[in-house]
Amino acid sequence: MLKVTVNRETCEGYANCVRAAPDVFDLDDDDLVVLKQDEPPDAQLSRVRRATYDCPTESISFTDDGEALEGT
Amino acid sequence: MRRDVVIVGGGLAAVRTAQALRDLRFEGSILLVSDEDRLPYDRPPLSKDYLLGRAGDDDICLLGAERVGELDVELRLGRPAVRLDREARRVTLAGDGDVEYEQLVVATGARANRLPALDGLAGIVYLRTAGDARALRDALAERPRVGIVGGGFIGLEVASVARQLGCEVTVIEMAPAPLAVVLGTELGSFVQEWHEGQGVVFRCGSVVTGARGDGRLEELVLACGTTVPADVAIVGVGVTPNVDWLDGSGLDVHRGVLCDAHGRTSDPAVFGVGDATCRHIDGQCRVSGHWTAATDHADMVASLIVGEAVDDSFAQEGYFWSDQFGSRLQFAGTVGADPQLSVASGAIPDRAFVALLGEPDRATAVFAMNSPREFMRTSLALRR
Repeated sequence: MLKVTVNRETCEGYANCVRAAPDVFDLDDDDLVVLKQDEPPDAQLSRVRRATYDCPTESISFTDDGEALEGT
Repeated sequence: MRRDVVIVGGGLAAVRTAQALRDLRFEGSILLVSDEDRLPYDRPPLSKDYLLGRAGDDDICLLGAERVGELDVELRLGRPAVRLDREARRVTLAGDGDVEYEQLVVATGARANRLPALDGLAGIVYLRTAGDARALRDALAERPRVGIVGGGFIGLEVASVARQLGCEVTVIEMAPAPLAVVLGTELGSFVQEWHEGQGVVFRCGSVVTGARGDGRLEELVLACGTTVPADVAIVGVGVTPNVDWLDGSGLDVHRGVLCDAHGRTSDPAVFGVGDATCRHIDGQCRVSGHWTAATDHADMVASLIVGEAVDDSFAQEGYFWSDQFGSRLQFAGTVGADPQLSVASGAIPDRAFVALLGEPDRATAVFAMNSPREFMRTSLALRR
């Protein structure tokens, strides 16, 4: 099972995560990342991974069945 | 020892290829060969926070020693590739030593174009590596008069940093306005006025033909005969792919090593990623030297190597961003000369807007300033 976490302290609102996984990530009115779902279906794995890689501030991490991938 | 995959290059495209292979559960041996003698790092900050001194070496690290171990990737640093023998499936490295591969990924990136007319004086800077950026950061600390040759994104980012550090800055651009080649003259003129408001001086429609000084740069000479006083000049006039080492290999090289949309070359054992490549898609030669494109390419090539279906949904999008004077600029798509401009949200004078660019009846690109959420929504809609 996927579990996604975001760090709004380090987020600078590039929205690259929205580009990579629009069903999982969005920006709020302050242009900071918010999760549309924090446990997305497994089909989203490659998109979530891509969002993690594409974040210039390394503000996204996720676990896949407990296996971590933080930033890059 | 023959490695299963040899990646030649040490930048983002090279690192992402190794990561994508492991993400796809590739279990073979991976060797990454880089001409730089330091661990791979991220380049966008080199003309932004790293140059400004707000980010250090740790902040730009792409692949720390610990991650290298976790990825189980062998690194060979400070070793430029000089020749490719496809028949023997062997890459010759400078100094001594060859490496042999089952599959090869060309990820040697690009270098800044040089202006030979400026050679021979201290103070002429080409910004591509972390070492270049550190040297420029030290030079800017002396508050020199700065000349920027080329009003593209690199030039304007450096102009922004140099102004913030208190330098006098003059941008010399061949086109009628900065960024006009990418955004058209109308938006280019807006960008110019915005920068002028921050104290940047522009000499548009001008070409630098030489430089004068006594050992050190003192002034840049323009084609019209006038001069621009400068102690330091940053030259940002495009890049050349690092593919010289492929001479004689028989691989097709055009504006980079020639690949199909997914990164295959004419040799089934050789793939290409990132700035070293060009792609022939629908009869057009495309070069995409952008940050996310490197990862797009890496994902596709890793899928080819492990034999999985390729997801090319991002591949032709041409997305990039720029940070200047605390503002965020974002662009996606492609435009021809003098594109039609329409504002989709916000207002240009407010410096918070999303603009559509393209043909009169069809937008082909999106440009935004300080509107990341609307930018992504608009560009995702355009992609569909």
